[in-house]
Parts: sequence; C-alpha cells; structure tokens
Amino acid sequence: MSAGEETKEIICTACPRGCPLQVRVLREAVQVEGASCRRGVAFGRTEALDPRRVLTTTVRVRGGAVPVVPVRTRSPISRGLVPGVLAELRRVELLAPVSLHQIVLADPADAGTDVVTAASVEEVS
Amino acid sequence: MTPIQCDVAVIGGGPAGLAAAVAATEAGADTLLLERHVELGGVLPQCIHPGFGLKLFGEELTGPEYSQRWVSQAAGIRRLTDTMVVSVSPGFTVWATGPASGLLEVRSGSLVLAMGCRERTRGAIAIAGTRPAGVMTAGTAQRLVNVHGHMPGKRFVILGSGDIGMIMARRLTWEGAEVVGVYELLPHLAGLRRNYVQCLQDNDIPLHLGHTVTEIHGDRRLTGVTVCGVDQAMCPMPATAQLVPADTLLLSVGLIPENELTRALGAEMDAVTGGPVVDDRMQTTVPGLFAAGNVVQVHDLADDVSLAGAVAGREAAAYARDGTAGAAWARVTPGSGVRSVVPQRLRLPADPATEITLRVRRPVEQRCHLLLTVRGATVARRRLDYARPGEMVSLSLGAQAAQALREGGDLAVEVVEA
Repeated sequence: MSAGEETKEIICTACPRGCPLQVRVLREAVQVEGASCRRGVAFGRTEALDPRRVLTTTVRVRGGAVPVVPVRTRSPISRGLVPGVLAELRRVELLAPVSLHQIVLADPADAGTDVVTAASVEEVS
Repeated sequence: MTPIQCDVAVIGGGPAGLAAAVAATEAGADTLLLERHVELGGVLPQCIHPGFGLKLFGEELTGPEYSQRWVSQAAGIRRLTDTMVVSVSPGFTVWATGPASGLLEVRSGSLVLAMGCRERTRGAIAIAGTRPAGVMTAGTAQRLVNVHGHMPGKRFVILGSGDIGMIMARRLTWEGAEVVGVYELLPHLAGLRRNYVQCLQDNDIPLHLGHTVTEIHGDRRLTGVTVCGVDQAMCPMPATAQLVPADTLLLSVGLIPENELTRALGAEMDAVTGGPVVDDRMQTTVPGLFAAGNVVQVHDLADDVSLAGAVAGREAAAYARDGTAGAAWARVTPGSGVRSVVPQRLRLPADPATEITLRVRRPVEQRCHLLLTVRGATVARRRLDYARPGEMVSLSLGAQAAQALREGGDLAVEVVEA
C-alpha cells in the first residue's frame, strides 16, 4: 500500500441487501470492490469520501390535529451536518394546517437541500 | 339491519390491505376495506424513517409518504375506518363494530386477511423482576415519540436487534436521550444490516450480541436491568451478570402475526411462520380466503408486503367473479438449513413465475446455493454470496421445476454451502 492510500470496509446500504464493500481511497481516486450493482459502486465512493444520509425527525405543530409532523431532507445530506440541522429543527414550530412536502427549512447549514414535511396536518379549531 | 354486500372484503388497512383493495378494485371487484384504527396506513404513519418505496417507486420515501401514496391510490374505494372485525364465518359473513356504526354485517364473495402482526411483549418473553413503569415495546415508544410527540424516558436499554429497536435507538439519540446499548440474545443481528450501519454505527451505539436481560429493577419506575451473556444453548451465564442503570427498557424481540380470525375460519396454520398456509395466489386452505403481508409471515420490507397484498387482492377478485379455487396442489417444504418458506403450497399446474420466499435457519457468511428439489432431483438453484436469518431471500420456481411438479411429488427448498 502506497502512502496516502487507505482501505475502508463499508457495508453498502444503497439497498437492504447490504453488500460488503472494500473501498480504496488514494487522494481523490476511489476504487470500489464487492458491489453487485452500479448503485453500490456509487454508494461506496460517496460513503468513503462524504457519507450522506436522509435526515428524518419531527417538528412541533400548533393548532393541529396532532402535536408533531414528520419531516425529512429532500435528499441525503452530509452526515456531519445532521446534529446541526436537528438542533435547528428543534426550534421550529409550524402552524396548522400543514401540507405535504411544505418547506420547513430552506437549505439549512448550506446542506444543499431543503427540509420538507413528510405528511399533512389538519387544523383543529 | 341490512347486510353490506361486496365482492371482496379486505380486513386491515395497512400496506397489505391497501394494496389488496387497490388490486381487487382494478380487477373489477366491488371492494370494501375494513380498518380498526381511525386512519389507514397501519404502522406506516409512525415509521418516519426513510427506506420505503425503493422497490416499488424507485425512490427513498418515509413511512408516512409511502402510506400516503397508497391511501391516495385507494381514494375511491369504499372503506370503514374505526371499525373492528370481531368475527368471520365461512361464506363469507363478517361482523364488525365501531363507535360510529355500531354492529355491522358484511357479506362478501371472498375475503382478504391483512391484519398484520403485533409486537412480542415482556409477558411473551417472561423477564423476571418487578413491574415498574418504563418497560415497553419499541413500537410503542415509536408511536409515543413520532405521533404523540412524547419522549418516554432519558436513558434507554434496548433488548433485541430487530429493525424497530435499532431505528428507535437512532431516533431517541437524535431526540437527546442516551441509549446505553442494544442487547441481542442470538449470536447474530436480527434486523437488516443497513439499520445496523445507519442507526447504531453512525451514532456510536454499542451492539452486544449473545446477551439478554435477566431481571428488571425498580419500584414505581424502572431503575435498571440486569444484563447477562448467554452460552451456546442461549442460557444466561450468571458470572457475567451486570447491572445497567436505565429508566426505560425497549423490547424489540419479534412480531407475532395476528391470526385470531384466520384460526376461527379453520385455515391450516404454519407453526413456524405463525401465519396461515398459503398457495402461490395467497389463498389459504379455505377456498376464497386469501391472506397477505405480515399476517402470513413477518416481512423485512413494506414494499414486499404491498406486492403480496396486490396478489391476494387480484386473486380474491378472480375468486369472487368465477369461484374457482383450484383442484390440486403440491406442498413446498423447508429442507436442510431453511427455517420457513412461503408459499407453502403451489396450485397445479404450477406457475413458473412463482417466487418462493424463505428464511434460513442460521447465518451462512459464504457463497451458498438455494436449491429446489422434486423427488430428490434439483430443479432450480440460485447462488447467493451469503444468507442471513434476518433477511428474507427468494428464488423463482422456473420452468424446469414447474414441469417436474406436473409429474407429481412435492417441492423441497434447501440451502447448501458452495
């Protein structure tokens, strides 16, 4: 193994199959072995350089039929940004009615995607 | 009281029942969907994590979004929510009751059972100790946090590495609680690897395989649990006992298919899956009685539950229309290394496109083959790089197996190391 080269053992989570990947990282060159599909190769590359996750949680709702609504990032965000976005979402309170896929936070922490609702909430008068 | 008439009645409005109702309606049946809860979707609305829909919609949805897609597809279908089925009799007559409707009688040509499953509780696994507050199933905690917005504790121990337990470990950590660890009796993970990676590894939550909770402590509220390593016979080893302080114990120790109605109708049951014996059209051993989803066997993925539900709905519509239940079946039996198999029967002549799903008995962490045999001869095989009990695997019956079954005999399924 040459200097600056690193091999990571990663379990692919692009699908539930969970292929064991061996990812070799040499500066920006990445070699993925063990994947059984193209999505797995892409996953291994991203997971080694910048692991990403869809963040899901709930935020409070005032005046709704239920007290909280599920929310999600539209697309996966860098894993390191998760705690900061969660902290921002804890300060959010939406006012009912809430519609599906309504924007909750636009591009939080420069994550490159929005946090949107994953369900609707009716207003209770 | 005038009975409600329909071609197909579907009991349960979760992923299996919604797909069954949509498919039965598409096949031209007048369909009625009965759901005990006030809203449709079953467990999906509380499963706010992503991972749904990859197989059916090609995108990563949360449970509420996945549910919403099916609920909108089912929009025009007659339904009774907040209505619980209390008894069924052959023919079919369904008795149901709810606060708005009172007692209802439903007459249907065929019936789809889609009642899903229940979580195993403390009583089901008989943990010794006191009976304080703070001991609950992982799904109960999931509902409290994700739907009602209540945190049920501050310091958690999770018993069982089932998917809901691992998902709740992450969820509670993200809500600011401390999750001391996940303890699993078996020497291997019970749930999906992706949940181990994304829920436990990502959040530095320790997984202790080969461990269990042997005693619950606390008077009014849980103060801690005794955890213990287990030997190869899965008996606790007292020398390894350790007190772990916690205010809440979550149980993620398996699911029980909810089959009271199925038994009442006299359908043959499978002692291993806990569900009814079904054929490749999801018909039970009672003609016109179909079943799909977690009431048949516990699935890993909601997408697979929906797919099974769609088969049951389509076939229930066909039965209601022309009343043909089939005349001859071959048995499908779990052989060496296989714990359970669904379907347990194949209607003859067998359909080569049938998918045989199974769970292996113990992990095989090397290349192996799934084999289908008829009268001792191998008629289909699929190579796998590994096979684990926590992950359902499947293979297609294929033309050779279908042909072999024409000449008589049963189908055996086995897993052999390559």
